[in-house]
Amino acid sequence: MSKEAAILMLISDLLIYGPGFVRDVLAAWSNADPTAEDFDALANVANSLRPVDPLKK
Amino acid sequence: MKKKVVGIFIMALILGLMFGCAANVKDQFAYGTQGTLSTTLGTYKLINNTFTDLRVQGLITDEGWAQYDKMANKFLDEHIKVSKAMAAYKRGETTASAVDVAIGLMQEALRELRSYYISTIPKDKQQPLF
Repeated sequence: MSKEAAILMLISDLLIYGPGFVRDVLAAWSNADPTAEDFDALANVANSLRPVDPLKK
Repeated sequence: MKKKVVGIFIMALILGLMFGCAANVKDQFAYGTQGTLSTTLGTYKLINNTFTDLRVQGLITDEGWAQYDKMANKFLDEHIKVSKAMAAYKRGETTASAVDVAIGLMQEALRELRSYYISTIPKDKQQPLF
């Protein structure tokens, strides 16, 4: 394979697969990956849902 | 030159795959646990609403409520432990297997609560649980 053919192949691969790959990686990074703070907040929500006896209010 | 270009391309591909896979696996665990926490909390809310409504109607005795209160608090304690374990996991302070153990204990507590709900609440007053 000549140098030009290798470069053309690389460019065509980048054009074909590049956008999808970039989209997937960006989605994995930025798409609301739950954080430690999200789980802390969930713990607070659960703690606020303790049963309350309505007859002893 | 050709070998260099092909070598760089293959290296970039391998690095990209490794990075992408690592990001996905981590996401799936966090998403999965978040989903489990939300679903189990939803089930608990249904159970709690039913017990509270029936308690207001006088259909749950003091002893029945005390038992429910104990089991519900146990479930919530385990639920909170999972959330805190998951927060620690995201901060890199604990392992996924430690979180899995906590999830198992929470699901066991919910199973007990569900059994109590099914055996205590009259069939026509029960809401379908998910």
